[in-house]
Amino acid sequence: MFIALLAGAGWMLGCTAGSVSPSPPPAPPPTIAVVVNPMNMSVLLGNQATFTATVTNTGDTAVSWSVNGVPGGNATLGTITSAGMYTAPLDTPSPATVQVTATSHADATKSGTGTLAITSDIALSLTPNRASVELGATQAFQAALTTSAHPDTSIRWSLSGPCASGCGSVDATGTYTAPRILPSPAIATMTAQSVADPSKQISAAVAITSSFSLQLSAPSSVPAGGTATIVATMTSVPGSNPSTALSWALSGPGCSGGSCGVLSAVTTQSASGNSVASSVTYTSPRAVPSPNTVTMTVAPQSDPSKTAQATFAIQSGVSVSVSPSTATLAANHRVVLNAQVNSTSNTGVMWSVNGIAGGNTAFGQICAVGSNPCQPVTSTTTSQVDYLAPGAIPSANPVSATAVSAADSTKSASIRMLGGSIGSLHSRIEGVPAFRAGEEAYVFLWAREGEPFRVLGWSQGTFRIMKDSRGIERVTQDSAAVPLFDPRTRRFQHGGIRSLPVAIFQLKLRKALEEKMP
Amino acid sequence: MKLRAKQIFASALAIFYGGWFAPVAQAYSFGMIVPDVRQPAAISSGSACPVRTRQLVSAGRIAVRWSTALNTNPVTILTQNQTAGGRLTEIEQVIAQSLAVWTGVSGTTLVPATFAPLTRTATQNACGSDGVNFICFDQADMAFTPGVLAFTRVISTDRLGVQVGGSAVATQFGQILDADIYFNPSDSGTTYATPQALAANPKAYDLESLLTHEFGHFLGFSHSAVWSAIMFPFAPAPGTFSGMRPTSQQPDASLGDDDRTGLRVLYSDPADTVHLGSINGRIFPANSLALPASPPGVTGVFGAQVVAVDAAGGAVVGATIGGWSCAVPGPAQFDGRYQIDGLAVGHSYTVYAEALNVAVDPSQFANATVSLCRNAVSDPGWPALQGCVVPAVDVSFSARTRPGP
Repeated sequence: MFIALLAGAGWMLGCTAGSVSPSPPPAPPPTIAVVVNPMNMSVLLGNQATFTATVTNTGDTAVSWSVNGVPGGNATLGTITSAGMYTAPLDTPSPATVQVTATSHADATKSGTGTLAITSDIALSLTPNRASVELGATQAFQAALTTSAHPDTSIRWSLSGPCASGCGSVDATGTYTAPRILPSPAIATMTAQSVADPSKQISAAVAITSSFSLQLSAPSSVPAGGTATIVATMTSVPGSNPSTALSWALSGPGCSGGSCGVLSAVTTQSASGNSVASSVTYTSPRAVPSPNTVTMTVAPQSDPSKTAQATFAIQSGVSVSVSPSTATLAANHRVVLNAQVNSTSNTGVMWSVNGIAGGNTAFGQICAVGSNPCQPVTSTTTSQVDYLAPGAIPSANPVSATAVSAADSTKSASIRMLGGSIGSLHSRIEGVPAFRAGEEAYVFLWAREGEPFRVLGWSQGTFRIMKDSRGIERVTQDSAAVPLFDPRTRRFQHGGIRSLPVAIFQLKLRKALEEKMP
Repeated sequence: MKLRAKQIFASALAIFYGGWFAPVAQAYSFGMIVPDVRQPAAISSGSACPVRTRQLVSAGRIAVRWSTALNTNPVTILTQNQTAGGRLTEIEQVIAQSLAVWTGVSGTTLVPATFAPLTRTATQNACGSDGVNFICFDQADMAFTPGVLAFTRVISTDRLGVQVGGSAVATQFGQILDADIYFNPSDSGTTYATPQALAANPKAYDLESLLTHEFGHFLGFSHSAVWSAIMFPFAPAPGTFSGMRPTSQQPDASLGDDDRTGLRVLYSDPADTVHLGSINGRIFPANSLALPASPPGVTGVFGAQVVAVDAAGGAVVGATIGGWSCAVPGPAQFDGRYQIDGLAVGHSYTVYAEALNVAVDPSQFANATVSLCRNAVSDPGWPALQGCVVPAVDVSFSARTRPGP
């Protein structure tokens, strides 16, 4: 301020003391100019470049630096120091060129600009470069990024392919998880992309494989109106995790829809690390279809091409023939009767005379072969017996001796026994009666409409047949020893059936039936 | 035919879970399972000797959830508190109390901290083979027939490394992977009452007694033939309850000594210095010709109840189902052997045996007897040398006291 004032005073003195002729106007002061150098250059991501600014026509050569108009720049565009040191961003900006501007401190309207191209020398490699991955399994991919600069080294992972949304998934670390359901086509593309330079990416082809097996366990035959448990075991490759959902369907050449039977109570349990067992209860139709085969088709949701099938026959009713078919006997004489049971492995029969179990002295008796006196036949396993004619000609003559198959499907029932095993898993309910193979028992059954039968009251509805030391079959109720509480009378009742000969048990049962249902 | 049978039973059979009568002492028993020796020894132990089914015990290891879905028409769970929230709280207290009865037994590794905090779910039909232990009051099931009040479905495994649903992977032979308790919701004539509500509802069954019994199965118990045991298979009559109510001084009051001894055997505590006593021996019929000819190899009485009675007090302290033994690599031998463990030291005991047909029947012990053997018929590919057949429980003998020396 002080210097400028003296100069002005000098001009005033000259004006008053000099020539009086007009003089030309003074020349305008020279324009300040700013030039940035270099004007064009490129720099790798994360690297640095130095700019200089030349300011002319002023003694004030100070400048301020900006990037794309942002003083000092920023992380996206790159930053620049007051000394003109530019540091490129870690990730490529869009567009990939920036303007570096130096603005004169002396005249803020004056500036110079340099153009900077931000480039990358990033190269990517991917390991593995192709892979086969089982359903639900995982595969780790690794992407290596090489560069001479200092860019952002992170990788963006993505999946694509014709499988669309069913290709599986990939996490931020590059671990791929195959879908649990096989897509079609079963091919995915795994892509690793540089975050710093999205133009740099590399892909690997992934084949999604399905190597699990599905096995179906079903009986070869099911009695008409009976039930069977069918087990489907899916065994997968270790480390994989295919969907275990199954669809079950019935079909047959002689049936469709519900006429092939009904499926119910589908359960799925992990039998082990690699296998899952699913079971379903099949109830066959009461009317045997013709042809009598039914096919169970089990389709895994994870790969329907692995569909498994089992075909079983619906057993028709068994047939029984008795020989001789006719006989003429004198009073108190005998004839040996043979029962031939077909279409079942259970050859046991129940004998009756004129509808009376075991017969009686009026119409004749069913006796053990050769027994004298007559030893009544109570076992259902006896297919050969003696018919002993009565001592007098019966009122209804002739009489009919009938053998009814113990396995007659029209008189058989399927009983749901609770608990059981699938693979290594064992389900149990304490108190449910268990039976040994071949064991004979009377059981009282109970079911709601449409349900399979269960043993009524568990131990209370179970009457086992056991032979005593003399070989006589006797009936004992499982709960015989326990006094039971009757909620109707609110009293305890004693005296369950224990060690009762079969014939007497049958009589008691028949009497009870007659009393309850006149 | 079906209806006829049903009608007969309506009056002739009364209702299941009735009561007890004769003070006959018999035994606790456990669910048994034979490891699958067809698998590598590392995951099957390589031995066909039966092992007990039991929960894996460690702090917070056992979680129990209960479904707050209750039967509403009719209401089958009767409570004193009639508010919606109060009912649930009251029921939950009964569940917790029933668990505390078992964790209150001294000398076992089963302690309150073994159980994770009881949790609720509003989910209906929550019980299932999913690896989560549930209690359900409103879930119908095929196991229910008239007269069946409640049951526990237990899923265990015969090898290591197995899981069911979301269960933990088995690390212990015979490990229980899932145990669900079901109460019959479909019998409109059957109700259950909390202890607070029982007196006012004498036709209801005591919820706490039933829960405590079912928790016994949950832990691995089969049934007991000791009439005073909570594991006796028949429930107390409506309006009554088993034993005594638990108190803070005696949290296990509703159990019988037989239950306590059984728990000490099943979850024995290495630090227990009191219940280290053991009695073992064999049972033979007076006439060896009385032994069954089939299956072959039966050399002693199978299925006898062997009872230890405290000579001083006369209390039935513990008992077991005798008749078999097993040495690695198995199978079980039916030689009449028995062993009663978990007996307090410093006491004298009287031991006697009796047939399993007095207060209960063999069918109540199926899981403790039928499960002792596996063979090529039951399990295809089972090695013959490790297969066996369980004989029928021998109930044809009567025990007589032999005069002392």
